[in-house]
Amino acid sequence: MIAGDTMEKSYKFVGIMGLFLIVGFLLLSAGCTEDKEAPLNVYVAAGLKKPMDVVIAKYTNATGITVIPNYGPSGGLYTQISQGQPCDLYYSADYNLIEKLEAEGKVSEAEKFMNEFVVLTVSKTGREKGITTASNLTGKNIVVAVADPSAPVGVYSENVLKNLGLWDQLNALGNIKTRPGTVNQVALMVQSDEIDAGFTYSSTAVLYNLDTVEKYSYDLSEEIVFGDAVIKGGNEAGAKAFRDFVRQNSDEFTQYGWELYA
Amino acid sequence: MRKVSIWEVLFVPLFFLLIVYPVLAIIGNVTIEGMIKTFDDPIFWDSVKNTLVTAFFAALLGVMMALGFGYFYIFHPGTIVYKIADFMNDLPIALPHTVAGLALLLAFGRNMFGFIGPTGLAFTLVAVVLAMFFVSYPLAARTIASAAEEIDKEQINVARTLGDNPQKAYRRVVIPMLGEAIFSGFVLSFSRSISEFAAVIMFGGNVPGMTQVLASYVFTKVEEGEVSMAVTASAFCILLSLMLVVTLRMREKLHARSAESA
Repeated sequence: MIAGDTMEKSYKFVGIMGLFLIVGFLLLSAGCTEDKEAPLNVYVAAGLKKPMDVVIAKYTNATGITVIPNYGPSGGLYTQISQGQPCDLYYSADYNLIEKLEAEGKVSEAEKFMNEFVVLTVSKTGREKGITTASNLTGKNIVVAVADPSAPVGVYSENVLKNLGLWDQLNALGNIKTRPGTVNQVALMVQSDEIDAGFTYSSTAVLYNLDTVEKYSYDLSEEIVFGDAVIKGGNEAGAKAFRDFVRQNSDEFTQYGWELYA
Repeated sequence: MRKVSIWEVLFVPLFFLLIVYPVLAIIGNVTIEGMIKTFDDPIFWDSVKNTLVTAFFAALLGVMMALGFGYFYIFHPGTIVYKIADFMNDLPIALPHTVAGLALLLAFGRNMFGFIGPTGLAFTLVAVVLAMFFVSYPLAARTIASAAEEIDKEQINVARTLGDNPQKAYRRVVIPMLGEAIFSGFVLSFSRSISEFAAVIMFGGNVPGMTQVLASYVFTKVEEGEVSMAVTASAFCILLSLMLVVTLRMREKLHARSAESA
């Protein structure tokens, strides 16, 4: 009898746990189903967060439509969309990723949005050491950060150094002491004076209030274009309306050093 | 016929689906081409070597510190030091690991430890060890504390009445009885150290060939689109962990057998 009781209790317990699991899954997957009043899913390159948050708040105020931003590294967001996660609009820090999505037939409409540049920023100590241009980085005991190539900015910075003929020399000297995972980490290190100099985007330098000493042309870094893409199969009309609103508010972005695509 | 419990019905398929299947998915995707490319890459072997060396020292440091915690647990459980340590022990688990990396950088970077070198302790193999230790120590501490809980206090008291001071009693009575826990604490923190990458990238440097570890090598390869290399390196990681688990089990068996024969 006692055994039967505990048996029943454990069944009840398992049943309740199971119910929770099922309800949880249903709630989580509810976000995936399409609905006219469904909020807009916008995937945004992490670097755009600050101005994008402002624009989203404005849009929700004006229209009452909820926009759910998903901020992350452009490459990671690309993988999520490519694997079929629900997304209506995608802002990428690397236009090549949008072209890859187009090739996969996932894009309904894509446009180039803004230009970005690689800059050399220096910390307080870096400034005292007299770093004013990339060739100063080969000095003795200079500590430089170049982002890891997994972040687009890492590749662009490598391009700059290679085209200036400094890459091999810097590696041989061991002056590149750190390869952070994101552009924001590079900026943090410069800001907190843990390193002398680091390569970031010009917008990042403005956002983090860094001391920029040099800005590189596309001849050195390769063209850097931020783009937006309306994703097929989602709320395309809603995505287009929001995209147009973002364009009307492009000064929110340009104040941080981005330039509208020309 | 034995009645099948609901736990068995739920556990077996879910375990294989959620734990075993993803691991097999990695191993199943290993290709010859990816293996050749990866094993030909000297940077891969550098990262393997770095990982093994740093994880070993991180685990060693973790066990030493955990033994210190165990000492307080047994002899001074009423003290403020023990209470604070007990409360703070799990802090590294709750902290997002990029935050942990930033915390370590600010604490041991050149602004605080500049007298050691141009970057303080940051961006060196020592930094990698410290980052790994930071995230794996809680595991070692928990393992040793829960084993210390099992110890018969009577035996310690006997040693104490026979004239051992706490330090002697700890070394001669407690530590030998903790043998198994020390070993599994070591293996656990070693495995955790191998898999850590966020804190290691931020604080350790992540420079290929110098301070890059296996986990961040895999991360870089995934984001660069070198999926075949990333899969091979991941499978290598899994193999390493499996070898550790097998060693742990074999030792447990041997131990049980020698205990039986004794």
